Amino acid sequence: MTRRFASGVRPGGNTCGTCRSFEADPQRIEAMLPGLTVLGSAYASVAADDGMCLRHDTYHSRRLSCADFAPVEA
Amino acid sequence: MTVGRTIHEAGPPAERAWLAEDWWAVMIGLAVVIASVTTFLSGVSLSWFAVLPEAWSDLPELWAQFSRDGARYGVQGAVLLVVFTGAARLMSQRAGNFARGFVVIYLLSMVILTISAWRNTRLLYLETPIIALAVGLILANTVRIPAWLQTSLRAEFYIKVGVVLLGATLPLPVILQAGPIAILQASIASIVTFLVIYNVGRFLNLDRRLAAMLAGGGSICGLSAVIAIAGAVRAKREDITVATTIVVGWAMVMIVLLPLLARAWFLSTGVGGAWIGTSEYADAAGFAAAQTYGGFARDGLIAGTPDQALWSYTLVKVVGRDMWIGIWAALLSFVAITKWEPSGTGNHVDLAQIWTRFPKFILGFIFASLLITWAGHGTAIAAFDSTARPLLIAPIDALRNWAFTFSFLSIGASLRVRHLAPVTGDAFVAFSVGVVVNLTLGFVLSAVVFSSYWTSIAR
Repeated sequence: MTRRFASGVRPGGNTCGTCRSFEADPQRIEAMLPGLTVLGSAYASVAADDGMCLRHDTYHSRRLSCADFAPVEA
Repeated sequence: MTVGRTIHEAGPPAERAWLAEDWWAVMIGLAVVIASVTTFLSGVSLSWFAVLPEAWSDLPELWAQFSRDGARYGVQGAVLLVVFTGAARLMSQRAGNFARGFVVIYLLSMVILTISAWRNTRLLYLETPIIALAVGLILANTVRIPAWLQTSLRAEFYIKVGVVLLGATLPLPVILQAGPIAILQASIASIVTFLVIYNVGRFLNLDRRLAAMLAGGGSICGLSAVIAIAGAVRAKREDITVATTIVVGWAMVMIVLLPLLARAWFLSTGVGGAWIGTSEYADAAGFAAAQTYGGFARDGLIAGTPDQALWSYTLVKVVGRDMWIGIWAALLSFVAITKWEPSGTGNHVDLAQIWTRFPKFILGFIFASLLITWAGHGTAIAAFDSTARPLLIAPIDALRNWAFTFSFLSIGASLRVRHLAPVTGDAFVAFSVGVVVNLTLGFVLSAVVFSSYWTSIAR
């Protein structure tokens, strides 16, 4: 079972996890947050299923939703 | 609403990580412990495989040492390369890049451990963590670190493996005996420090989310708390980078400052380790400080043993502070949703994060202790010291030393000062006030209130 894409997210549901503006790749998140890898990690358990909303520039759970949702293109 | 592809669209979905970094640390660490227990009970030992540079005085002596142990270093390095690269690959990192980088890290660590084993270095009290950090910092800020090497600079991953291995050096009864004291001490310091930083931050008109991240970073577990709380309260990217810079900056200062202050007051290694555990922010930075402080005891400069510094540090920091991060995140998530942003859509407090965010490597630490306690059960102390310590525990401790050195080197080599975000004065002031309160409280709790516990830990 995957850590990043698991538990409670409805496939196709309008949650951040299925939005095209949501970045959940730990490697890219670390690149967006300079200094994080010095003493932290986006791969750690504490990061849970969080990711970066590139539209609002906020970091949060993939299970949230908002009015600006736009699905990932097939 | 259409979202512009070039600006707002995320990259292609990441290849799925099979398990979080913490679980890989648990598996690698426990595999080593199980291998050591199994070989020990079979009448052999991992000691041939787990090799560290021994103390040396001149080049002929060093040459003789490496001529004798060259094959052991080769085998050890090859196995570690395969294990860490395999884990990195299964965490969706590029295996080729990681492997190339890991070879460099292993060779540099060998140089660092060799330098710290030189008798003249020991006379200067230059401990392995300080040398590793210095080498890494010089590299990071003087030459361009290639991308493939950056891939393998995983300070948190290596330190978590080291923590699991450290559990094997600490008997379970010690954890059970000192654990409640560690939790009590850490809880007092964490709650007070959190409230101080948060309220000073709010007094200075900092955004609530930034104040919460700073408070968590300064009181719970450094950048792990920053990233966990950021996710729980929906923080802005720019605020995360500000909190990151401040926490990293102070953590680096504390690596040097805490051992010097503890030494100035001649604290025993157990007390010094507990103070570092209460007042350092990030696990890896704290281990660097605690290992450095423990090294001062080698020549009798301070009372206690080097191990006591690491043990008391681990109990206060890892058991006392880190393991509550999920509860802090859930609590702040509740506050953010009900008080700060009650109109958000689709928002709910996810209580599952108490477990999801739990640092799983703590389980590995406790299980490793349990395994070693079981393996040594019924053995007289004299027999344990003469057989189990060199044949069962010493190989694990040697590999723990390697893992820690990889981590300290990675910290330095990841810290490119020019890449850090600029810091606002108010955020720095709020955090710094908390630093002073935390240092004072940590000293009183470690050196006065619970001094007898930490002085005699595991004796």
